[in-house]
Amino acid sequence: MSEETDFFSCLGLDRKLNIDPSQAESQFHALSRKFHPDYFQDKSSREREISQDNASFINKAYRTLRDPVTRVEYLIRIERGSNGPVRAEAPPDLLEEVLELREKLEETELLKKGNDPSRLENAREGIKRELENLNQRLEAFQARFQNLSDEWDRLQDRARKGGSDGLEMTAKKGKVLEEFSKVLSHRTYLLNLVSEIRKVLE
Amino acid sequence: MSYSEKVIDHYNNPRNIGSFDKNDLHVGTGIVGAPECGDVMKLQIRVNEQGVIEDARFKTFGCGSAIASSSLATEWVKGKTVEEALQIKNTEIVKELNLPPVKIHCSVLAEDAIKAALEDYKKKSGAANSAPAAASSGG
Repeated sequence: MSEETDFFSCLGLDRKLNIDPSQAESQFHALSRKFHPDYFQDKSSREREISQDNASFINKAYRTLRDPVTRVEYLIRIERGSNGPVRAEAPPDLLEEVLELREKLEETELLKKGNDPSRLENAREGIKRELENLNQRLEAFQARFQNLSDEWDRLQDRARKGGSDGLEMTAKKGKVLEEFSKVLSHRTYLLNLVSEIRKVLE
Repeated sequence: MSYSEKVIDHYNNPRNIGSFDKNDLHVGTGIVGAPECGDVMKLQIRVNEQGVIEDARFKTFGCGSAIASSSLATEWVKGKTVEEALQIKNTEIVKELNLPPVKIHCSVLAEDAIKAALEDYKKKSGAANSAPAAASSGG
């Protein structure tokens, strides 16, 4: 398997985001069998090395594409062809929101050690409302994530039918990836907050 | 991964933790985040009439290296002019704290936070100097 082979083509998949998990899995199993070290025990060390490299490449490909988030991250990386950041910088108001909420959590932790049950209860209630709000926003991101995946796949289908990637197509694809990188970043901050809130509510 | 002694020291005894009033015209506030891990860092400076940073505060929600980097940053900016503080590089923080390669982004975050705070201060003081009426009516 050459260095230029990407994870999608390695597993026999189009460079699309809605993948057929069973197809990916069966391809993964077939390839894993093909390059299994057992078949190469009596081969030259060079051949053993190559088969081992292939096996690890296949493992990495499957691990990366199996999960929808790492799948998109990988897509962004290979489409942009650079090692730059995959995720966008967060907007300032989001960062301020994170800070404020984290400070509130800190205060609640202090109240836990204190001797004012009604204030603690109030703080806990406030945090629970925040948690609900965050969960709703995360659900919205989930839907956005799916919409963007569908849009990407449509663009890929159209590009294939059209034969070549026009300038317009490149711009449209770039925009979808840009949106993805914002969603991925935003989502990380919210998920982080959710897990911090859970710790405090325990 | 084990933290260096200096990181542990800053983590256990963070310098200048806390906040200034972000609406104070002498205060510059920088809030930055790491989209890969969700860490958030706030760094504030207070600049006197001579343009020297007389005090600094930080608040960081993140790993030990992020806390140590911002704690160290507040120590380093104190006593410097705005222009001098702009020269602080993340590589110096890495060196001082012995940060391993996987934690270099924490020092980058601290440098970004210093720059954002300085920029905020410059914007506020610039607006105050060039248009005092607008600044006071705008709050």
